[in-house]
Order: sequence, then structure tokens, then C-alpha cells
Amino acid sequence: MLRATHSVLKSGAGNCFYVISTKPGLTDADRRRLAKREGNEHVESPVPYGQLMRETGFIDVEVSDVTPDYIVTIRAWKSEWEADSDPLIELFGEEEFSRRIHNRILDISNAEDGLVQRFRAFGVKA
Amino acid sequence: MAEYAGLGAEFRERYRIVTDPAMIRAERSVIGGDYGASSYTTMEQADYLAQCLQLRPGRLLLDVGSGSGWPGNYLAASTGCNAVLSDPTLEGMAVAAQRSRSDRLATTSVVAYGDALPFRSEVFDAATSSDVFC
Repeated sequence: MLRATHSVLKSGAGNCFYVISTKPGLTDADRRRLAKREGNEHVESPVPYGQLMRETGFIDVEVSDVTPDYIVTIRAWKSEWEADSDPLIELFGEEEFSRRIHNRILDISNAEDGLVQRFRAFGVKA
Repeated sequence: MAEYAGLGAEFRERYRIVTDPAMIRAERSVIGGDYGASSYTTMEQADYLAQCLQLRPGRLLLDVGSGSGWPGNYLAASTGCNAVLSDPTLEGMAVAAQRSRSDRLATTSVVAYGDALPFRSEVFDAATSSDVFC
């Protein structure tokens, strides 16, 4: 996707994005733990995103770890859903609602333990 | 179409329900907006994107994997920029297009995968994405 985005940008144009990525060097145990979450919202990147961007042709690359804010946002989603659960259970059904809350719990744990991180990355097309 | 059919029922279902009042209430409280956000990008983080990418009238933004239009529609509304929103889900882009029409935004919604963007080279002044997979 980085290459496709790079291609359609004008020279000198910026690409600034947020991405949830696994930590480098996942072990089999890490993957089993991540697999407990139904569906996934992260990418597994073999190299750091800054390196990926430079290899794609972006310059002036800056990558910031915004995982603490990510954890706050996940907690907020969980709290809001639990506080307004009746209409959401009616919308999703009890089982699906519980599954989604459980996913939030796993996401918080995975982020707090460093298995996944959220980054803001910026680069300019040369 | 075969690729779209295999994308995932969860995502198609997600965008079908984002305009439900209960979902909107939660989004307003957590994200700060009501655009059907499916990422963890908050309003404050979206405003950072606007500043970082120098979005303003006359500039053309590409929002890849926009889901149901967040943050692309908001960035167009708040900065006056033009925007193309792309996502592989028809359901998401339909929600985004409806919001664009109702708010009279200068945005266009396109069903497309992020690794196969159907645009000419060197068209966009800026690009963004929020928590996209690829």
C-alpha cells in the first residue's frame, strides 16, 4: 500500500498516517496470543515502519509512538459500550456484543504488554 | 468482485451499522465526531493530520482505507480541501458518499484496495490512512 500511495502522490507531497503494528520479532507464543483476538486490527511488519517508508522512496521520515493514546482510546470505547450496552446488545445481539468487548480487553492487554504498538508515520515523496 | 466478496463479512457489517444512534453516541464521546469512525484516530489526531499535511482549499487529499469516511470527510469539512476517499467496502463508501452529499463536501468515494489504487500517478497533494491493514 505504501508503494501504491507513493505512486499517486505528487513530488513533495506528504503522507501522514496511523498504523497499528506488531512488535518486530514475534515469537510463536506471541502469535498464539494475538490469535486469541477474533479478527485483527494490526499489521505484522518485519521491519520498522520508518525503514519501510524510506525503502519505498519517502524522505524526511518521522515515526512517533502513539500507543499510550491508543490504549486510552480503546479503554474509552470499552467504557462507552458498557455504559450504553442495552441498545448495542439489541443492535449486535448478546453474543456479538460480548465478543467485541472481549476483543477490546485483549487489545488493551496486547498493547500494554508491547505486542502491538500504534504509530504515526510521516514522510515526503522525493 | 471475487476479492471484494472475500474481504470479510465483519467489515461490511461494521459499515452497515455505523449510523445507528447508539454507535454515533459512542463515537461522539470517544472520537469527538460522528463520521462512522472505524479506526482509533481521534479528532485531535485528525486535526494533527490536517496541520501536518498542510490541508487547505485547493489541495487534494487521498484517504486510503477510509472505511465510512473517517477522517477524510472530516478533513475536507474542517480544512476546505478536496478529498478522494478509498476503501474496498461498498458499504463503507456508500456511508461516506451519503455524508459527503448531506454536508456538501468536496469529496469523492471510490471502492478500491489500498495496494491497487485506480488513480493516475502524481495526482494527490497529500495522503493519509488510519489503521489500515496493508
